[in-house]
Amino acid sequence: MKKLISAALIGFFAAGTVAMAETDDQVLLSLGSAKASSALSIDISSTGQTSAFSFVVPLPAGVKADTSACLSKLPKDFKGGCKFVDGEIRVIAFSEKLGALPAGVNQVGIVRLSGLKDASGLKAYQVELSNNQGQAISSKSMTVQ
Amino acid sequence: MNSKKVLLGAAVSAVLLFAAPMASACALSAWTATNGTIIAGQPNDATPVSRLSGLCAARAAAIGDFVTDASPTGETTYQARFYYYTGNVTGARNVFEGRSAAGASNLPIRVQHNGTSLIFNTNGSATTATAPVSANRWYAVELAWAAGAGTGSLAITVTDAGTDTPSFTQTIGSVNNGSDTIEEARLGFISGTGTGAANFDAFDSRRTTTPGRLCRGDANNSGTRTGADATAVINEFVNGVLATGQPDANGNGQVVGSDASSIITAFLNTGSACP
Repeated sequence: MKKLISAALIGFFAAGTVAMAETDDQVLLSLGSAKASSALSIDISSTGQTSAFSFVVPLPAGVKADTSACLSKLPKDFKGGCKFVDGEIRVIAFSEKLGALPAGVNQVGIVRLSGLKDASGLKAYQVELSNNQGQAISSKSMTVQ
Repeated sequence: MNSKKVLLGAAVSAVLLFAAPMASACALSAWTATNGTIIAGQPNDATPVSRLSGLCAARAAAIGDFVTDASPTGETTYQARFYYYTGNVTGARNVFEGRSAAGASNLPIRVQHNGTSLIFNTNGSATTATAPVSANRWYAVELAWAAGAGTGSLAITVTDAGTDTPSFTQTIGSVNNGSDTIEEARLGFISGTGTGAANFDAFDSRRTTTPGRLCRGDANNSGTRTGADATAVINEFVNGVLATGQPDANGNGQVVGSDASSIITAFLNTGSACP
């Protein structure tokens, strides 16, 4: 079931954001539910330049996050981490081979949220996507619920 | 060094770096004077010079290798910050002096390195402050001095450049230095004994405001710590493209993969904002 939800979300982005993906590097957050918890899917729309990214997602009070699969879909040369601390999810990763995510929508991973009642304010902040020279190329993000 | 930024208002106005504005040789030309054989260099020179910030730093290898800043004039308050790479030295040598007109016989500020500690003294007080340091590491040294007849002071902060939190703070107070003024600063191996080399970087002095520390791990000099900084570290290590900010996030004198890891950890612990 979880795989179906994730696949459906990715399918949505793949089908619905093709034009955007060709011109924008940005963080894509999408929320689905899986029984008692919600699944926050993290994807990156890349023009083929994104070599690193970082952002934070503040969560409503009382919400808990399991970040163990946060970067699970990234290419193996990407290193980084996710942490749920001080009421926010912090996500950071970079290619240790100075590679880049392929053009299009790239799966990053999933964060499981528990206790989420109102997702209307869910948004990424401090967004930075950068190229393999360490230069920022975008600070865009989009949340789909 | 050929970069000297003049600050307006109440600042002493010496931000003395060691970097050239373009990818050319490093220089010491913005300092008032140089003594001995102190050099400015960068990590990819034939004789590599480790730097903490920007492209260049200064390296002293013998007693008498130092630079002089004559910007201060009759200063009754003085704040300075510099980064010091301890190297592997023996003996004790003065590495920073805030000097009055009396010269070496009356030092309002003296910072000495003996290989294991930085030792701080100020004229007008018998109190000595001793900050333990390790070999081959960068440290931020922050000083705030004020003159006063029994009310003078020297506030000292030492921070391992691989951390965001000071490792040593002490204020020498009740200093009887009402007639002292600072007329000159010296940085390097000014006097003393022993062997070994050490590096100096990012000197900043002001009359009243605090220079503060540079953003550790802000490798691309953007003012934040993000994934781009980790990439800049890897780009320097792999391709030799020197990062323009502070890529040596763990302060060990080398820009390597562990610095990228330090940046990742800093982001996860505190977010992208510099402390």
